[in-house]
Amino acid sequence: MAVSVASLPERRGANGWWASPEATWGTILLLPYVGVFLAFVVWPVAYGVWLGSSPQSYVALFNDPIYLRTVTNTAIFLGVGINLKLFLALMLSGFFYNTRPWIRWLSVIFILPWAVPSIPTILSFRWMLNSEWGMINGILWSWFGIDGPWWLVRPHLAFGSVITVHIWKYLPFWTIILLAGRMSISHDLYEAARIDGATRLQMFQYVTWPQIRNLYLTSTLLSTIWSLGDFNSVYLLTTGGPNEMTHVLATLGIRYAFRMMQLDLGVASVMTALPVLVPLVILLVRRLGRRVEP
Amino acid sequence: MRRLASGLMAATFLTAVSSQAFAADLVIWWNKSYYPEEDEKFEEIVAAFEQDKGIDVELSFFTNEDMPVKTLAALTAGSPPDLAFAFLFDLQHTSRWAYEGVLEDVSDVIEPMEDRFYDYALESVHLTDENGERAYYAFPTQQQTAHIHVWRSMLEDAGLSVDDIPMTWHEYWDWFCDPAQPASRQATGNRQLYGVGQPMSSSASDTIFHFMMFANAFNVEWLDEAGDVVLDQHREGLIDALESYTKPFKDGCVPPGAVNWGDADNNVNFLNQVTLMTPNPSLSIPASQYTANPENYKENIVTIEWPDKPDGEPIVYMTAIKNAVIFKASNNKEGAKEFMRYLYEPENIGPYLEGSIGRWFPVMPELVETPFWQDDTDAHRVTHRVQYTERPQNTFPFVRNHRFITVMSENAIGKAAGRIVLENWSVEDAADELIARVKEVVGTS
Repeated sequence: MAVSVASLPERRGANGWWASPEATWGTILLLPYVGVFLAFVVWPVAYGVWLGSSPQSYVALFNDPIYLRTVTNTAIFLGVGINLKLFLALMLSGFFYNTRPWIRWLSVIFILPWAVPSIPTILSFRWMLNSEWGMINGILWSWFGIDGPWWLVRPHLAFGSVITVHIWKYLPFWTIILLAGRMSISHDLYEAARIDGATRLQMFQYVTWPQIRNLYLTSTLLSTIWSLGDFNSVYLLTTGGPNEMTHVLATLGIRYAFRMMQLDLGVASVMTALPVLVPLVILLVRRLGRRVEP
Repeated sequence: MRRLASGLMAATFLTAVSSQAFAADLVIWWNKSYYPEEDEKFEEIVAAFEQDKGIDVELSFFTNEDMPVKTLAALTAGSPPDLAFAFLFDLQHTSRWAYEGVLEDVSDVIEPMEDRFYDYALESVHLTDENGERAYYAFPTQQQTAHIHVWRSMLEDAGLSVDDIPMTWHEYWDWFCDPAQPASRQATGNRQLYGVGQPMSSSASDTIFHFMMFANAFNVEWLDEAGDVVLDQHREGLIDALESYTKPFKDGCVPPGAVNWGDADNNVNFLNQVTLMTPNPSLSIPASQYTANPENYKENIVTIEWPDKPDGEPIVYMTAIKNAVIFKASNNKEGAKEFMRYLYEPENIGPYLEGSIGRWFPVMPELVETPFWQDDTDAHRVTHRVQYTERPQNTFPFVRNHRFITVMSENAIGKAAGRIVLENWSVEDAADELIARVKEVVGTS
């Protein structure tokens, strides 16, 4: 048997390799990426940290009563909004798992809120919820003869509307993610469970949930990180009002930076989210880095 | 390889050099107007200036909201335009920038022509630096005050007349609540029609402007001449002003959504005939109908004066002096000054302001003597002229202390109104919180 041995490239010392044409080309081709990374990742983050580095900004921030309310709002927005959204997505993913044609068509309509840009859709909600001439109160009056609530005027109703719009907007996306998770579960498992006489609830409990639990938790983490920066749902619906009572950290930062022109306070308010954001990101990366055992 | 690297460096260098070579002599950022005529006039002035002086000008228009934000970003980056003008500079920045040493001293332009301006217009740009020294740090260009617009046609449909409106303070506001609101609701069958389009939101600068008028009505002084807070000495007046300002809302005569209005929303609600009347700082409401619906402009909408103060004296009108600025970091400060001298020629600034269809009032008395402003057939402009030439004016407190800008930008006034109508605070508690906030923010000069 003839054995051919391919000649290996001659091993160079470290200094020799750096002087090689490959190294020069490699460096040149890398330079644009390094430049882009420095310009659009390192520089903005470092500049933001620098802008929000004055302790006085944090003193001013913590002394502003709006800030405390905003932190509470953000916690409620994330706690209620995300859990409700993911729970509904989990339920709906089971519904859309069904293969009937009308459900397929319904899924196309269902995904529209997520697919359509935020500005027209959330502004439509704003107009629908208008106390005087909005569609919802108009229907309540013409069908039932009752004056509808002042949706965006009463602070609790306004904040409830913000959470509802956030869920409405992003529910389709997470439903699709969880639906994809469900679709990756082997049918054999359901078949085996059915033969064993498992009810639907038991199939969910012992087959579906264990298979998509990791995906659900990862989605919750990811949604928390994204929703912490959700500016649109709040700003387009209430602009943080009435009387600055529905702000979350993302909109409060904009209020300071562009309405009050206090850039340092704007950055500082967003920076105060880092103690929550960074552990979440680390947790997420660690989860994603885990190997799934077969 | 070396050739390639050299080529890349040369290309980068040439790109940088060529962008410098094509840069204009003078960079102007100007607030985009609401009407094309106004922008066109300004472009004509710039073109004539370029031709006369042989200076190449790069003119950029930015919207009302964008202009301060872009300017702030450019300042932070160290590359501001040579000359900048925004409708919101005076309300948000100018006096603070002067104090912080950001602005170029333009006294050499203003002082030789001081006698051409209204005194209060000059006062509003004669600002202090951090050493307490006063100088002209901005160019006054035009001014705005608070007007009251009323749907005459709707009142007449309800069997009422503009002439029925009492011109005494409390009766004036009450009249729009009753009889005007119920009569108009009955006539139109619209149960969601409101008598008063009072801005109540903490995100609208209109709330500040109009509450300042209410404060004037009750002789409230915010700061003394030295810029120190004296609001606590006017607590009773402030309570009365807040009471009067929030009463129409509490009486159900203001659309509930007014607590969320932005600056354009009182315009929108009025033009959609949701409200019978609305105060508005500038003639933008009738001006929007000038070409779009001339009948509304000429017949259906009227601009009337504010009522007399509760003590029977004529109301003092708040005036906001719009201004253009040159920054210390600007490249071509002399060119910018030269342009402003050119703009101040009556044949330039006069037609430019007239292009706004009367929305802005001149800061130079000589410009009011033109046929445009003396035309007595235009009822909106006549009221505007009377407000400025026959009634007293008052400038905003930030002219005396730049820190008052923070009170305005955080809209402590709108917040106080919100405390009363949304959170059921007593007027006294809301007034005390407002006084405390003003003292905390402004302190002493």
